[in-house]
Amino acid sequence: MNLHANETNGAILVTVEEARIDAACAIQFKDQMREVTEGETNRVIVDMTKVNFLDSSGLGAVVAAKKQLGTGRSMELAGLSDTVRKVFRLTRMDSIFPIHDDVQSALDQAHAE
Amino acid sequence: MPNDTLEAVQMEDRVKVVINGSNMNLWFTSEPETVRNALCTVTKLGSDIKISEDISGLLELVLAEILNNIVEHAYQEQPDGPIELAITVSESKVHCILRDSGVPMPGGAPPERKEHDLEAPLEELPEGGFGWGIVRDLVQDLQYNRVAHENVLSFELSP
Repeated sequence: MNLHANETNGAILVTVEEARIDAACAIQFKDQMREVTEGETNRVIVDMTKVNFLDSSGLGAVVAAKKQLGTGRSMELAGLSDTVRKVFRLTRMDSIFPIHDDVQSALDQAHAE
Repeated sequence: MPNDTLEAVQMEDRVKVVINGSNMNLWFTSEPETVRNALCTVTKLGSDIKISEDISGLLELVLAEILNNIVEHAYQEQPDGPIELAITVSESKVHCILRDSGVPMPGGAPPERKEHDLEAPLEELPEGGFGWGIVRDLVQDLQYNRVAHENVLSFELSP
């Protein structure tokens, strides 16, 4: 599991450098998310543009990553493929995460607020 | 020899694949990495048996959910459990049969969709229990039988 994080526009931008978040790597995703989101920055944006497959184990890991951020910090998702987005819609988890078309629109939204 | 009787046998990352006309058969074992290789193989070779591109992603998702369940519950995370997957395409519909030799499904049927309380406080949000809801939302004609010492699960997926 390869996650890359940097701070930009007052947010931590986490880029998932993997094609899959599945049962074989769900735990690594959760653990690495904890490492790369250490700190106080409130807003975490996860760029999933490179992810073309996510199953319910991967979804569980994404939820776990949000839970370990705690209530004071937000976790938003960007760049979901059609199939990945469908997993969020079928499980209604799209009501838990703000979902942006891409990273740029996620960042733009912060400016508008 | 007509084209549809040509048979291709391949071995990819511990996954044995046989393609014969509009059928694809795969044999592999119950480690998460091997299951991933099997799923990638189905998606990579799907066009060989005319699995359309618009159904291919959903097929991989449904198979992942069922296979994760086999790994986790039928084989209880033990490696080397044999799994057989047979895929047949007919008139753009995809029909799948999965066989494993793990423990039977409790209650003799695939679980129903689980309703989650998404209004719950953050720490109580569900991290699992989504799989069968996804499967039941996407497939038709989901059937399960215990035949001798095997679990046999089948379903159909339409575009």
